[in-house]
Amino acid sequence: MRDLLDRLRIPLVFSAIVVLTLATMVTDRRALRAGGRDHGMLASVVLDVTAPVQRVLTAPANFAVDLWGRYMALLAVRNENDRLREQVARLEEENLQFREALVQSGYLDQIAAMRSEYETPMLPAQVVGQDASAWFRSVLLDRGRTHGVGSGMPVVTDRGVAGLVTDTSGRASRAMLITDRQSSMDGIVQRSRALGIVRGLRDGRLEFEFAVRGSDVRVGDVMITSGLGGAYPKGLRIGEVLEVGEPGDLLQTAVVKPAVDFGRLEGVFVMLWRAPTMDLLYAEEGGVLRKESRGRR
Amino acid sequence: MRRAPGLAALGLAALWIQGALAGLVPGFVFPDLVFLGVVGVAIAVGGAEGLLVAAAVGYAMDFLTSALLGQHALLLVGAYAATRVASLRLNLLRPVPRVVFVAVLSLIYDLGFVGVGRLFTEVPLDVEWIFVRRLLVHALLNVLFAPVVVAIVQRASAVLAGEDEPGRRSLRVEPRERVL
Repeated sequence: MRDLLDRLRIPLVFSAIVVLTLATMVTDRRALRAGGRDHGMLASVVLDVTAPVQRVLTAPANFAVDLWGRYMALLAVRNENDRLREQVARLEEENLQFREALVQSGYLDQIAAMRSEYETPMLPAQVVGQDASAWFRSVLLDRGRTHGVGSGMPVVTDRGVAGLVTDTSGRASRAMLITDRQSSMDGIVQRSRALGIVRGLRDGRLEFEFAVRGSDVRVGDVMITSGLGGAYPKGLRIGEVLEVGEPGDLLQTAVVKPAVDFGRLEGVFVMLWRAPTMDLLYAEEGGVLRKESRGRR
Repeated sequence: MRRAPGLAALGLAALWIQGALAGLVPGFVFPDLVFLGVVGVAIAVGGAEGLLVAAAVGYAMDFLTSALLGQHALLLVGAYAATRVASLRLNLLRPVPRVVFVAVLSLIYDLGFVGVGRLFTEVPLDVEWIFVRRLLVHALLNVLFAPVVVAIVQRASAVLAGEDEPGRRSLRVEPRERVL
């Protein structure tokens, strides 16, 4: 009997591991579909251990990239400066005209009231590591639950939306980027208000899927978040339409270039805000955070 | 008994290195150190100990990536088992069999990864030329780096098992009927 058990030990361990992995995948898939993914304490420990190590490992690489970037930027800085000065002057003029129009129409006070109601605190965070797998797009951030970060919070840069926090530990968190194949969000074309779903493509670009009927999407159109998907607030810049595909029977797709340069993602902001749906899904994560975010809204 | 935790820690270190380098170069133009490490563990260690190391490193990778929990673990355990089965017929310490085996296994591993992802999620399985090219580049890089990683794992395994005394060389004799 003992001999038999010894001989079966490895096949039994192998089978047990396969069953365990399949079970965790099914469970995780269900959680992901419901939007309330949480890997628990073990994941927290791995994240907490990894964040400081990754920060040390990433620092020299970032320094080299930064140095090269600065050198290249210096070469083009004069032309850029002239162009920007011209642009600032033009925008200031435009801004003045818009303000004047708003004052005249009496909307300025209403907008100021809305702004104070919707203004969201942003927490600066550093990207300390990228996804170790070749097939996924996520980043490791150096801010976690102790800093007020929770799963389901949007991650943005000054250029636009970058992703969504999916896992948190005490001092670190992981955010799935919008370019990940599993990521999907509701987007809207700023010009024509055409509504659809934006998904990550394998090559670092995005795919915008929209209904053929009644939608007007053109190359160069700016995409923003619609606020309908239950994850991101309305009005965050997603990117710019690069190509518009052939229309199908019902749906059509367009390729979108993300506004954020994911190749040089170092500093981001975590919006300390969760959409009501996300707040319900991650309700167990922290009562204080929920109260605060509700208060803000 | 310190060999399994030691090798799992080595796997975690490989993950950290991959994570740091992913900021500089896209993941597919860098070898999959974790996958190669598991192949190395299958060659150098074997048994239930090696299986547990592969599963532990796989789960650690799942925690640090956007993969489903268990996706890397399942495929790394599969890669481990395939290496053990192949080592019954092939001497994977010799260059030619190793090159062929790592190239084929790397392609199967990457395709399996995408396939498993397709089974469990709504991510479409669009096999385009860019995807095939990435698979081939990744496989080539894995083949090139395999000797170094396997040698590191073998050396680490020997040190952790206390077999690294000067002037002493271990002789590995394994019965051919063992499968895993």
